[in-house]
Amino acid sequence: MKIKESFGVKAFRAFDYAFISFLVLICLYPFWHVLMASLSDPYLFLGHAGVLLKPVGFSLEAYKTVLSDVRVYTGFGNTLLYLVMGIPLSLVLTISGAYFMSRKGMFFKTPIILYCLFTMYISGGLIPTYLNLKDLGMTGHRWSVIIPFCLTTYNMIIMRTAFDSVPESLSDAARIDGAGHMTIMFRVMLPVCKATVAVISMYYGMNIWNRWFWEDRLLDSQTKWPLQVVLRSFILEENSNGQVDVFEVATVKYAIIIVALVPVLIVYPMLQKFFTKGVMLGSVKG
Amino acid sequence: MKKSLVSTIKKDLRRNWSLYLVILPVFTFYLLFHYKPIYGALIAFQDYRPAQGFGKNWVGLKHFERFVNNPYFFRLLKNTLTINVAQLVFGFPAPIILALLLNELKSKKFLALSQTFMYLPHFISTVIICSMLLQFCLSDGLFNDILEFFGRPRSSLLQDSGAYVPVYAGSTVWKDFGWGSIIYVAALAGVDSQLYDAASVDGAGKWKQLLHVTLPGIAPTITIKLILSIGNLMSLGYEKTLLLYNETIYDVADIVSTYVYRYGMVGNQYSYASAVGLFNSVVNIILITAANKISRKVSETSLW
Repeated sequence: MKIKESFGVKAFRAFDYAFISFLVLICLYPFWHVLMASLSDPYLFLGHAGVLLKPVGFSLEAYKTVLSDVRVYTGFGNTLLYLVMGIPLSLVLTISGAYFMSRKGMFFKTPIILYCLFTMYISGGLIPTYLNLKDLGMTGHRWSVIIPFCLTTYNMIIMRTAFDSVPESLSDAARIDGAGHMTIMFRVMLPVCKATVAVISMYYGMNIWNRWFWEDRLLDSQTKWPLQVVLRSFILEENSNGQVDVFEVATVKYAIIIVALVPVLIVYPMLQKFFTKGVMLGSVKG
Repeated sequence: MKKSLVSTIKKDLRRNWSLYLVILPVFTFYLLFHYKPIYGALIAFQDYRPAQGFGKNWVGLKHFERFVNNPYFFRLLKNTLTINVAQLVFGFPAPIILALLLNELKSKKFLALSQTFMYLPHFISTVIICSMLLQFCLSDGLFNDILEFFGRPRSSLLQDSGAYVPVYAGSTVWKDFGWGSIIYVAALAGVDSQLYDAASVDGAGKWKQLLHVTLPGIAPTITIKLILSIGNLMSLGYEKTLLLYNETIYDVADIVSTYVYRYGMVGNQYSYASAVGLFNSVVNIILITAANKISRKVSETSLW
């Protein structure tokens, strides 16, 4: 049965589509603006005011400047390196912890779970954390921005929820067949929970990609800086350094933003569905 | 009794040693990177000097008193609270309204596409967002172009105390209103469609359905989110502020966490800065406990 829609409902629906389109525009335009500014002629751009639907003039000067700076390449290289170093380590620890939490019958199971969960609510704070890292010698080296941040309790809980949802009969059957924990983990649990592993890998990856604060504080030399720190130094440095040609600078900053943005924009459409799924994984547990 | 406990543990270790081996690295991680700094936070009660080491010169609440009697104390609380309240007032309802609007879309294609675009800002790093903001806020930047269009004079917005909070809170809302709607969209999908049918049979129009079916259906989700937000009213991370602020606007931009950062990590006043941080954590715990209690009384929904 189809109920005929009243005029009010129709009008509302039209408004709804228009308003959502407007919001989409608000979300996208800033990026478009930066892209168009980066492609603009630096001199003409300075004289332009208002929204940019296309570049004013056209110039790749800004990109030439950015791409001739070695820091951009070391930044990309380092971020990739940190991803390669960090994600596997994070997965090993997260999966170990989650696997332990999903087993039954250990005398110390509950105390250990509480021991991990407690840290979600209480932390030492910024300064004690910093002093602790210095105390542990976690400064200067590349591992010092990976190891201290490689395990997130929240991700471990998501993983544990997934392990818990695997029917017990599966791992029981494997155990009766003589499988040890390693076999159960790799042959039974992980294949069933592939999607969750993918989601938490992406959480960890996104975190590494976006991080800058500790990298900025703990690494001793520019050659170890990840992309975000390089980007920040670009933006700050040229603000305070009056020597640089002011006309060129105007678009160079837009270009470096685009350069840092492009990898995310390429990967995003492919990964968006997984992330959306991840939100629901997390919220089930509450 | 004691003997049986020991033998239970022995038996447990013998049977489950491999599982304990699996958890050992995780256990060590938490010990080194979580529990050690929690213990280290005790320097808030000391006059800590790196050369003398930890655990000397206990001074009780000296640093807390210094902070509370500090001329900036109320400014820091006010700024932290103002930014959070601004983000809450605009950022909290936005995803709910968006979810309700998305829920009324008929075209699945349009829905999926608009969601993809509106989630995008969430994935952009704070450094990129703030770099863009720094450009847009320049006196010849995009925001000023728009302000000029509406007849406002140009100014460098991040040098302007009046513009800082709108820029900060506005960009936070912009970044997360789309992403935040996911959880409400899911909650809306979980509302029993028979309820809508029943309501419309009873003569309820769209508006009545919204009030009596939709909103009650997602009320628990809203409550939980609200408790979390209220509990976080005094906690505001330093990262975005460090990227955006400058000395000329400390009067509105400086917040507790950036104050901790400046005194502790830049000024090396470790004990004092730790005390300020600890003070803030205690306030946060009180807030979230209070919010939880009130919510349990009022709506029977609570975090714990």
